[in-house]
Amino acid sequence: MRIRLVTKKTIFYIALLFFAFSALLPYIWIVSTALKNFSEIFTIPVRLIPRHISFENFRAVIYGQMDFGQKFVNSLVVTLATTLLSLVISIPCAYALTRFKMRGKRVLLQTILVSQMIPIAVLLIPLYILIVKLGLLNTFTSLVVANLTFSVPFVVWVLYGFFIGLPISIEESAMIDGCSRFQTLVKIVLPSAAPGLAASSAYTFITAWQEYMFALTFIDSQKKFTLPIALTSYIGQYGTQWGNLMAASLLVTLPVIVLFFGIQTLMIKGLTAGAVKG
Amino acid sequence: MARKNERIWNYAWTAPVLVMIVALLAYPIFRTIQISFYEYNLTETTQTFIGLEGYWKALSSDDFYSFLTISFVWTFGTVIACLVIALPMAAILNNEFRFKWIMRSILMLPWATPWVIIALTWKWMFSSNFGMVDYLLRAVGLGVLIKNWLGDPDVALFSVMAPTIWRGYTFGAFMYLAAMQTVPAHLYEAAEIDGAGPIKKFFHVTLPGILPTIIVVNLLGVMWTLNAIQMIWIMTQGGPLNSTTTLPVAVYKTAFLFHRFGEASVYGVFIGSMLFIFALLYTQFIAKKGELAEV
Repeated sequence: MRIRLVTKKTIFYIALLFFAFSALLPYIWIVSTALKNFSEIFTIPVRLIPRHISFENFRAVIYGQMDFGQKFVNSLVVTLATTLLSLVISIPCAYALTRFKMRGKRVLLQTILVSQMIPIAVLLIPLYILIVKLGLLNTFTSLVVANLTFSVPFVVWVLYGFFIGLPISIEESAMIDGCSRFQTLVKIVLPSAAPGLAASSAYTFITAWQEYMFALTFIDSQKKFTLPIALTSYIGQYGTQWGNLMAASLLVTLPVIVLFFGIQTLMIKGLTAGAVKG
Repeated sequence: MARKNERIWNYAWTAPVLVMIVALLAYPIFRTIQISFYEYNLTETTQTFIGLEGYWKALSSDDFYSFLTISFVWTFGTVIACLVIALPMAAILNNEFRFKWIMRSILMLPWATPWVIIALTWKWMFSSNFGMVDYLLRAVGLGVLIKNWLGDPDVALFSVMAPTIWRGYTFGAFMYLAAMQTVPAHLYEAAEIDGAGPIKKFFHVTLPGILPTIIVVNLLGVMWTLNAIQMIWIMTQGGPLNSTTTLPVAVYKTAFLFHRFGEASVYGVFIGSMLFIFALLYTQFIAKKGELAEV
């Protein structure tokens, strides 16, 4: 009996370690490569733990030809604009859907749910033609507008879930005291829905920050590259500088991970409540 | 009259979203269907109407069926692998043990990692001679298994699936874990009284209890995976010899490399109709579960 318990525990911990190891594996490789100097990256046999820890890759990324700072700013501009605009568009819609008597509510909600599933392969060509015709090719505006296709449905859906759970009585008494609909929304509803706003903006930030296909299609000039296309464009150019790329990858990933762990419980709760209610 | 005005104002709150849906989602769908009836080359100025010819052309070409087969293997291979890995992982995390929060955070890392970074890193991991995969295989004495991971047409598809699975199963695992925690404890107690061991309990109590979640996660998984272009594009650009060209990758390549927008739109319509079925299943399922019933 005792032995069985011990073997059971051993199997349990081995499985656990296996999962943890496979989750960490690429990170071990990223960090290991980022901290090696150029010659050690191309040394055989491969060393997982660098013999000489060097920060030259990070220095090269930040001060070098990659123009990381410019691309970081580009990404930040597009991402923040997407996040803000998504909130501004989605908040009134989600609020109206939970508070007003309207015809076609159900249809609209279903459309919003389905529109999260429209394949990018269907959107890319017509949006490209549209953007060319509007003369928006190679602009950040084109990216922000295209990003709305995935961010707005998600934000409306999440906020709808949050707004519907808020008690209406406080809003009603505020309106009796002379607050307009808009004032009630700003002064009462939004502060109480702060966790929902935080979660949906963090999620929008994360997805817009790593958006790749629109940026690849709509942006031509190096100067306007966002980080994801900037990074991939370095593959194969004069022999790929993997050390620099991995260092840059770490810098790109960092804000995402911080945000992600900040909202992880909200993410799981939100996703399970929104998509999987049960 | 005043009431009517108020009604109209109510709709105004949803106007921006409505405009967005019409301009950026409905209109593109309409356009894709429209363009699929044309020979539409961006480099030429004329677009000729060819009706269904584009569709016949696709249906009678070997390429199209190869894209379909690859899409099928890519999508279902990835989703099934994710399910098979995620279930035991969720079951393990559903136990109490020390330093659980550290484990949770580590296991959540793949989910938190940006796609582009995953694609880049795995491309480098798969690189010949200097890559980590070859190194690990040699280190455990399995050097004979080393392949030209991204260069061999027989292997490349699976090499691109690996990072997609790595990222994908964590999402499933945490969804399943959340669902497992809602399975009522008395069901387990009853099963224990009937003499069920842990494996029996898993199959007879846990699995039926989280089945709705499994269905939803995997429907989402099918749609997300089929649609994903970027992982494949960054790692192989659909090559070698088109061996990793799924239908969506074919759309991108045909449109933006060969500038044949009409042909690409035909593929797009096929993808759209396939996804429509899954999207319908998904919304029906969600609606049945009561999410939309109270509206």
